[in-house]
This record gives sequence, C-alpha cells and structure tokens, in this order.
Amino acid sequence: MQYIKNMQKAVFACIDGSKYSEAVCDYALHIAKELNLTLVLLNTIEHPSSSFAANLSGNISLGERDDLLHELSSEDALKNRQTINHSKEVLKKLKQRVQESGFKNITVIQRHGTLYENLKELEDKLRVVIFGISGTDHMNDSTQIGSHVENIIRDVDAPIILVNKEYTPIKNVMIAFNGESGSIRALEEVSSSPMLGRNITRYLLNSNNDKSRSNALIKQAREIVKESELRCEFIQKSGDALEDILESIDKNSIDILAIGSYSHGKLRSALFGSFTTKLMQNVKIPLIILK
Amino acid sequence: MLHKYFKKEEWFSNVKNDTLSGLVVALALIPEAIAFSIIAGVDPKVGLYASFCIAVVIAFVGGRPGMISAATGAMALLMVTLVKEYGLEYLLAATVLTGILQMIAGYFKLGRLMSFVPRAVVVGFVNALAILIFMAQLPELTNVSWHVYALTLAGLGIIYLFPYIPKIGVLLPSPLVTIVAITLVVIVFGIDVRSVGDMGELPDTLPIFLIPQIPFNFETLMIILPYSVSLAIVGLLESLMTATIVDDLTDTKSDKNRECSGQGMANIASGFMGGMAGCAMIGQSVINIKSGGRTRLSTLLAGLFLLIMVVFLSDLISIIPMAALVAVMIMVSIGTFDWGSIKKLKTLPISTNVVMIATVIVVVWTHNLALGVFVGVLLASLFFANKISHFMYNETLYNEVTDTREYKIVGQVFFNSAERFVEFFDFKEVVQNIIIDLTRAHFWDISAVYALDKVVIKLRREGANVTLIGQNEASSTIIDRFGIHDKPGEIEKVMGGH
Repeated sequence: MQYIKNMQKAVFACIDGSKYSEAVCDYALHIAKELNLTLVLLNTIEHPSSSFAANLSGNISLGERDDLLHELSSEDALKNRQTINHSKEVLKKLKQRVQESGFKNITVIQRHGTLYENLKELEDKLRVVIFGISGTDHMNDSTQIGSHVENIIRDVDAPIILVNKEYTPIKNVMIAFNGESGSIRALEEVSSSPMLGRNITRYLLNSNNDKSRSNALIKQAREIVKESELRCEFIQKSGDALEDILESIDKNSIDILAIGSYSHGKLRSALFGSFTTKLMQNVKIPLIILK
Repeated sequence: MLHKYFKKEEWFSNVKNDTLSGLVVALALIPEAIAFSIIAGVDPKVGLYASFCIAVVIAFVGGRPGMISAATGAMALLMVTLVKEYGLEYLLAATVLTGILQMIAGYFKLGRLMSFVPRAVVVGFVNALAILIFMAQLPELTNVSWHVYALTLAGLGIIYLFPYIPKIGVLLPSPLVTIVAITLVVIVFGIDVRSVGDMGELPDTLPIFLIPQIPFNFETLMIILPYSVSLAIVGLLESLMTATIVDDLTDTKSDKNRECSGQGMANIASGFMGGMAGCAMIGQSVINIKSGGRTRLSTLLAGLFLLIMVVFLSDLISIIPMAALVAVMIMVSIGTFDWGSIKKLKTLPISTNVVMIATVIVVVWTHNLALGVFVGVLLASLFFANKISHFMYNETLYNEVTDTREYKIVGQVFFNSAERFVEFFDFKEVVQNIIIDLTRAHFWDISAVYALDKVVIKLRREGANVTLIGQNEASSTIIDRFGIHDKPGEIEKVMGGH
C-alpha cells in the first residue's frame, strides 16, 4: 500500500460495500481513464457509534472501569476485524474487475474513521470523488440521503460525483446553470476538463422566470464554454426549476447532471429545505456536484 | 454556529440504548444528588435541581457526548463551610461565579493545562475522591442502631449479587432494586430508621429562574470568589479526567475546551435555577457507558427522567431509608476507586507512587481536591527536575605541554543541577590555562548562568587563564517562549550535539 502522504492527485471511488459499490467503481474507472489518473478504491472502516447489547445492571464494582475498557475494546476489535475482512473481499473483487478491463493504474486504500474525516484529510489528493448516494445504513430507502453525504458535499473541496444507479456509458451531460458560483464551476469542470471526454453532447439548462436575466445567464455561459468544437446546446425554461430539470433529463435522455451545491447555510436549509437535497432525492441519474 | 450543537450522529445514532441507559443513570443520580446535597449541608432539592439543570445543559453544550455531569461529591465538599457560614443564597451566587470562571477558562483554552497534570496525580485524585465519598457516608453509620448496618449490608449484597440472576439481572438496575427492597423491608417491619424525608426539602415543582438574594457588592464577591475558584478548578479537573476516561472507553475523541465552557454554562444555569455547582461524574459516566449510552441523548434523557421522577414521585422518594442511599453511595465510592493503581503500586517507580499517595493524603486531609492536585503536580515536577538533573556529566583532559586543563560539560544545567555543575571543577589544582567547553551543555535558567559565573571567577582568582568555548550555544536554551526554537530543525540544533 502506498504511503498516503506522498500520493499524487487521483480519482477516488469510495467503496462501502453497499448496492452501488460496483457502479461507483465503474463510473470512477471511466473518469480515471479519461483523466489518465490513478484510480483509488477508498474504503473507510467507521467506528461503531452505537453500542452493543447493554448491561443495565447499573452497578460498578472494584476495578470495573478497567474490565469495561477491555470488554469494549475486544468487542470493537472483533467487529472491526469482521468489517475489514468483509471490505477486503469487496475491494479485491472490484480491483480484479478494474484490472480485467485493462486498466492497471489502481490503488486500494483502507482507512479507519468516517468517510468525511478521511476525505477531509485527503482533500489535496482529490481530483474527483465518487460515492454512492446511500450508505449501507439506508440500503432499502432510495429517497434517504446517506448520513455523511450532505456534510461531505458541503465541506470537501473537490468535484463530487454522486452515484444512484447502475453504470451506463456517459454519452451526454446536462448542466443546471443558475449563475451562482457552484454552477459556474460545474460548467467549467465539464466543459474545459477532459473528465467526461470531449465527444459527448453538453446541454446547458437555465430555468428562470425572468427572460432578460435568463438571456444574460446564457450569454455568460456561452463565454465560459468558448471552445466552438464542443457540442453544446442551450435550453431556456421558465417554470419550477426542479420540474424543468427532471423534464429535460427525460426528454434528452441525459446520462449525468452537473450542478452547483448548497448555496445557503445549513440552518436555512434545515428550515426551508434545500434545492440540492431535493435534486439528490428526485434525480434518477448520477450528479456531478461542485461548490 | 448553531449546527455545531445539532450533529445528528451525536444525538440519534444509538437511540434505544441511549434511552435505556439514560433511565438507568437517572435512577442512580437520584440517590447521589440527595447524598451530595447532604454533604454540602443543603436541602436535597438543591442537589436534585442542580443535577437536572447540569445534565440537560451539558447535553447540548458539552464537549464529550455520553458523559454524565450533575451535582458531585468533589464539588459538594468544597461548599461545606460557605453554606455553614453564609447560607444557601451565597452558594447559588458562588455557583454562578464558578460557571463564569469556567467559561473564561474555556474561552482561553485552558483545557490544555491538563497536560501538566501527570497520570499519578490523576490516579491520586480519583482515589481520593472515592475515599471522600466513602467518608461522607460515615455520619450515617455512626451512633445508629444495628438495623442501619444490617440494611446497608443487605443493600450492598443486592447491588452486587442481583446482576448474577440470569436475564433480569442485566435488565433491572440493581441500585433501584436495592432501594425498593430496603424501603419495603423498613415499611413492612416498621423499622425506625432515618429516611430521605428527614434530611430536608424535596422538590415539589419544576425549578424556576431565581436571582440569588445577596447584596451585590465587593464584600460579597470577596466571600464567594475563593470558593468559586476552587470549585471551578476542581470541576474542570474532574470533568476533563472523566472525559478522558470516556474517550478511552468508547475510543472516540472529545472537545476539551468546549467541555470547559460547557461546564461553565451548565453551572450558571444551575445557580440561577436554585441548584449547586456540579461537574462530570466518573462513576455515573462509567455506568452510562456500561449501560450502552453513547450520545448526547443519554445525558439529556438522564436529566429529564431525573426531574420527572423527582417531581412526581417526591412522596415516594422521601420514604427511602438513608441506609439504602448509603449502600448505593458505597458502591459509587468502590466504582470510582482506581483498583488497577493499587495492583500496580509494586511495579511503578517510587516517585510515581509518592506523588499518587501524597495527592490522596492532602485531599483526604483538607477535603479540597484542588489542593491535592496542586501538591501532586508540584511534587511530580520536582521529581522530574531531579531526574533530568542526572543528565549531566563531565569529561576532562590535561595537556602537559601547554599546562592546560580542559573541562567538557555535557548535559542539562539548571537550578537543580547547578550545584553539581560547580562540583565538577577542581579548584585546588594549580594549572596555568583552563578551557571550559560548553558546546554540548544546555543552560536552562539563570541559576545555571550564575553557577558558571561563579566557577569562572573562582578559577581566575586562583590565577588561571580561563577560556570559555561554546557559551552561546549553551545559553541558547534560555528562552521562555519557544518560537522558532520548537521547529524540528531548531530542536536538533539546540538539543543535538551542535
């Protein structure tokens, strides 16, 4: 295993053994190939935040503190070892899958701690981060956003790809453009970088009730895209932003959607709901998210 | 700012077990809060209100999820004379002031000062606390009928044997079983022993906001300040120690500075709600972890359950015999004691044991944990200085051709080793030239510089030519503030062979 601090920038696929792990791996492989970077399969062993079957006897005896420490640490050790071994199996299979596809530049990393903690620590190595929309905790509920997803999107400074379905080749991308900094960065990322390849079709959607504002935004977007060889279509809509986006995705059979994330603080989002969260819950294709 | 206080995983990642453990802890908090009120010399309701307020507030603002804070013995012992001489209102004011001092400590990030408290002092603190909690039960066990002894022993028997009963043993908190059983025995057989109701007023309403009725002047401040300072120090010490214990048990991290200011906020709330000062509790926190409690929810629920039970069941609580309470408190004392430290006494260095035992003796003597810690830290520092002073030696060469004696000093020169430094030199030797090579010596303080001056003057006075080498390197360690000097490269220059 490579010493983590000496690593170069790479494409990180976060593997947690949940149902999207293979899809995460495949999308990451696609992007690592396009960018010609190392593909890192990152698995984090989270410390169990819940406790085991409890002893409610409510008493403490002589030396019990030490006994309790030993008891709890051996319980944790057992559980951790199981998780580590299970994840190793998953990682091994995925690594094989990647290598069989002919891509050799792959590294497997297992680290302790939450995904959030580890991504924060590795922040300067992250070219792109790819993970599944729901962790193992919410495996059966597709509208549930995984517990760390929002915090990671808010705090980790890197393009993030959220995977919510099986892998299908990326033939086009749609950018939801509203002129805010996140969506500008999203547009720059998918138009100027080779992340998704040059030959795909790009759709740029602006949903705005104010026609002149919309025109101005489209003009701004055209300037960012500049390069004329890129195939780029501009769509202007007026109506409910979420419905406009969902409709355009359906109509043009879009493969991946790029957006800017959380422009408002956490408190406001908690009170009024966040558009980013709503998108994550309703869009059925992977999202590229930039701050 | 606000979202810092509402991390979802710090609240709702362990709901079922947190609810159960909160209940277990609340049941155990009631006898403790009553017992500590009695130690402090106030009505049981003062300790119960304090435990409620502190537990609820710290659940939100504390830095260590899953730790239990409430009215404690360590704090109660410090209030005894204040309550005796000036009364409850001054105690409430002192509690608020304690909170303010702790918030200031949190603001200035004084939590890091804990690194000056060696492990031996921490162990001494914990053991002394256990002894004090036990000693506080003695008044209930002196000049009483044999019934009290029998009931207390029976209570202890139930506490420690009940959990061995299969299944229900680990479902019902044994302290609760003890209290119920002893109370029933006393009522059924009509035994005449003291009960909680005899010890003072129990809460009959929810706590209400009250400004302490004291004259707001300088004189009042001078009365309560010394108490508040001790309370603030002891409260933070026990809280930070307990936080470390919980950190270790759960293998997670805590925010020590947030805990300091959190303890402050909790005490301010307690003082204004008619409660006494409190802090984190070692015994209860261990019980919480053992019962499966991990998050802030367990702390919050412990406080809420406590209040509900106390307000609505105060009639029942008042008939609990003191003997049952004493049994529970003896268990707390036993559980607080660091038994491992006694087993390790033989294998640890004597200096460590002396520090630990001195801390215990000073605390038991003065009933002031702050003094014990002060003495412990002082002793530990002296032992440390003494050990470091051994890291000094002297190489000497004589050159017959030039009639030159050369002294090469290697090691740490400071107040404790300065005298030995002087003794290295042979002042009686008649020699023409003397070279003192200090390139590998480190002069840590002004005592060292003074000793060198003394040596040089004395040698010159005997008629020798004295040359110093490497004086600058040696004295470059006399720095009070480490700025550039604590970078690895610089440390190498200072500490390495130059």
